[in-house]
Amino acid sequence: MLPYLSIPKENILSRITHTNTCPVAKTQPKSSAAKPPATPALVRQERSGKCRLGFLPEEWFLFVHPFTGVSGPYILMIALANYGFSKEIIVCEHEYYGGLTWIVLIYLVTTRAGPKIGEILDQKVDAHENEFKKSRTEEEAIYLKTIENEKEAQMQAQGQELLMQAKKENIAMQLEAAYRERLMTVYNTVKGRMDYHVKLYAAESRIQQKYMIDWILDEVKEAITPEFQEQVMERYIQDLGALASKA
Amino acid sequence: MANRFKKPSINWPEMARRVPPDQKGKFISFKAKSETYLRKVMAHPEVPPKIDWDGYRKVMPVAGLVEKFQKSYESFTVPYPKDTLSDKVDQQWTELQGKIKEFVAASNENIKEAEAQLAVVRSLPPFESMTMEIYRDLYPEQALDPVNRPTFWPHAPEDQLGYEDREQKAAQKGGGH
Repeated sequence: MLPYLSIPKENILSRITHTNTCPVAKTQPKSSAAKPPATPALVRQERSGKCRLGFLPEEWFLFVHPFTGVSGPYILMIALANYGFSKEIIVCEHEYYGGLTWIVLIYLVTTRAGPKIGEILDQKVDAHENEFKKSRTEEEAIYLKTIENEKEAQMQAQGQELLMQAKKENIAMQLEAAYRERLMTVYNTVKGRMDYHVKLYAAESRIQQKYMIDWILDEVKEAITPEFQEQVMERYIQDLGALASKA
Repeated sequence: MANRFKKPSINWPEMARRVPPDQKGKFISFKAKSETYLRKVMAHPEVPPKIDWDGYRKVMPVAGLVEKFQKSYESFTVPYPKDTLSDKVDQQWTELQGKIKEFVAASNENIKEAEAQLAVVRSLPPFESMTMEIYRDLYPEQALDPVNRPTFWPHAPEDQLGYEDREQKAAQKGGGH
């Protein structure tokens, strides 16, 4: 089916709370591993805990508050220092002053250059982390893309209903085209024959008329005799003379 | 006759949207065919033009001929061509429906599986709060495992035994020039 499924599906959460390398996982019976404990997933802290005086954990102060009050730990420190100096546990030789200069230097470096160095290192860590995150988003994208593709394929498969409708319509169109062609054939044939008859009768009557005129003319010409022609000529001359006298 | 084709009702843009890309060519030729059919239909009017019988009657000297023609023309009904293929298309469609159903079911299975895998991936702890142990358990292939898969310093792929660069691989595959 899907070849790129690499991560086993079974119970990842239970494996996370106690990893294979964790000794607890080995001592626990196998059956309990099937049920993931309700503890929330482990979250790594991004920054270190709160400090006082730059290096002493807050928790130490909170620990002694019930016995000594709020200013107690400071008094305790001063008292301890005092005790140390007076009993020469802390010896003020040259190493001591060297130590003071080191403290000053370390303080200066951490306060001045510390944030910038931290930023650079954070960037590197972020780049590393983003690489990992990218692999996960890519994996997610593969599954999302699979789902999307499958849905699209389903949509396309169901689109075949449209194809069937189109096929039916094509058939209907071809039938209609054939029918219309038939109608037009009938129409053209009938109209053509009608026109033929009309033209036939028109031609016949025209030819008959022509022959009739010719026949009449021929008969008239035959009826004209030489005497009749002479009479006509004389009549012409008389008419011309009458016209000449008038002019 | 009852259901004569009136005008095209195919929703082409919707259909084009649903055609898989590898069948676009077939779709285009199908559409072209359909358009030629439509053109053939449009080549003739839906009903033939009226014949001017009165006009003929005026110019026709022979009595009864026009009437005879008119009577026989009007009494003649043009048979509508028989539809033999629609049933086949219906049959195709019923067959296809089963196939589509099957396909959709299989596809839904795939979707379900992908969704399950997606849920698994999303349920994993974020990388920023993983320890090396968790990483090793979740990604045994990628995690550092010096016991089972030791590597030579400085642990880059090109420093290991049996490493071949691209040229060497190509030479081995293609046999060189």
